[in-house]
Amino acid sequence: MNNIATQRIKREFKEVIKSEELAKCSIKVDLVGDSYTELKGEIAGPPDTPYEGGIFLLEIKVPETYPFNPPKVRFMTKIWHPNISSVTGAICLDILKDQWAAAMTLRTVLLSLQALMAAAEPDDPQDAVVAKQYKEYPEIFAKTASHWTNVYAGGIICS
Amino acid sequence: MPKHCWVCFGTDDDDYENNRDWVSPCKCRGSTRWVHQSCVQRWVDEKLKENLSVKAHCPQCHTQYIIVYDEVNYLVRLLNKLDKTANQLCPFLAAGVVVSTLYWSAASYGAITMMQVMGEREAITMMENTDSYMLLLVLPSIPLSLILGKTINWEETLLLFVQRFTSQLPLLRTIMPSFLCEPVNSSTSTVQFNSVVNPTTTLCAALLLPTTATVVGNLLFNNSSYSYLQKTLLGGLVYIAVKGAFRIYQRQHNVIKERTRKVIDYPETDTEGNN
Repeated sequence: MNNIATQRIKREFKEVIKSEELAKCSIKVDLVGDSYTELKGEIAGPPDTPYEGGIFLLEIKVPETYPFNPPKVRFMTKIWHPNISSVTGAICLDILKDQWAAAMTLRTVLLSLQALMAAAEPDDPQDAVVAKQYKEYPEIFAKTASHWTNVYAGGIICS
Repeated sequence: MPKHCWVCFGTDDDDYENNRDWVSPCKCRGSTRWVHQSCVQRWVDEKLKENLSVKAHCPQCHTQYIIVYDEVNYLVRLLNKLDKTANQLCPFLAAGVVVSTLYWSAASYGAITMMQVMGEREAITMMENTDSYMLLLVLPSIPLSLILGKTINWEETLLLFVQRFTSQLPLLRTIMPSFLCEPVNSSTSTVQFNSVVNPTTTLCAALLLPTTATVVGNLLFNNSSYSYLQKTLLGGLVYIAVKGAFRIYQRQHNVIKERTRKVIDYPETDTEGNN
């Protein structure tokens, strides 16, 4: 991995650790192994959503061309959301694709994902089944999502 | 406020980066105002790799970067221009080479075929007496018409005709009993002439036809008083007729084979029988 990506991730790490979101248990980043190419993220489900109370784990892979290309992010915790695949955890979010800009950071990505969880975009879905339910039966959607949160994301208590 | 690079997140406090150039290339102020010259160059390269046609701009405020180059001398400018022109012209040139190669191959094939079919001396005399522009048009059309002729599926038509009339003519019925089979009109019939039309087979068969015709003509009518051209034409006709007859025969029997197809019971084994 080239120097610029590693340097950059190291600096971002410090930024997340110093950030106030960490203090509020809202987002967190951990290293996986010694290299800075693979990271583990954590997002708390935003309040007043079906995801409230859940802790969602993310797999973050930093490409060699970072920060010129976006990190590859995937939900490891199963989640019921129109823009996230209920099977693979793949995320449909513009800033993780063509709208990525080098000034964005791991912190802004995690915060954007948290915002996505609070405000889904059912017209640009990743999971068609979930999106259909979200639009046609919002109450059943909320129930399913909060059930998934309890079953898959509820066990971990933020320390 | 210390300078802070929005690409590598380095600041001008970092010791090892003391000598790097800083630039403020867009309208951004605050934390994304400054960037290293080398870092923003990498970003521009990355963007150009994705799409050459867009102008590099700031991803935050979308200001187009002002990129200047050192003035190059006249010779380099001229060479660059020549390169560009060559790159634009070459696709057309290459296409022209391919087309003219095909054309001249077709024309040569036509000339060789004429000599083969008519005999060398007659063919040369005839070509010399024909208008040269006419020749340039006629010669390449020889292989073309051979290939087009090959795509006509006359055997199919003839077979349908034979199938329809076999049952009505007693003589035919006795000599060709297998053609009593009704013409298969249903879509279940899949066996057809050239059911898989293979373009290379068509091409080879079409281009080899004159040679075959010459050989057959010479074999069959060697001692007769026909001219060279007549022998070849007769040979070609005989060859096409015989081959067509065989194909019709083959096709009819394949149709019958297809019709008599059935799935049979699985033979019971002893253990199953006992139980």
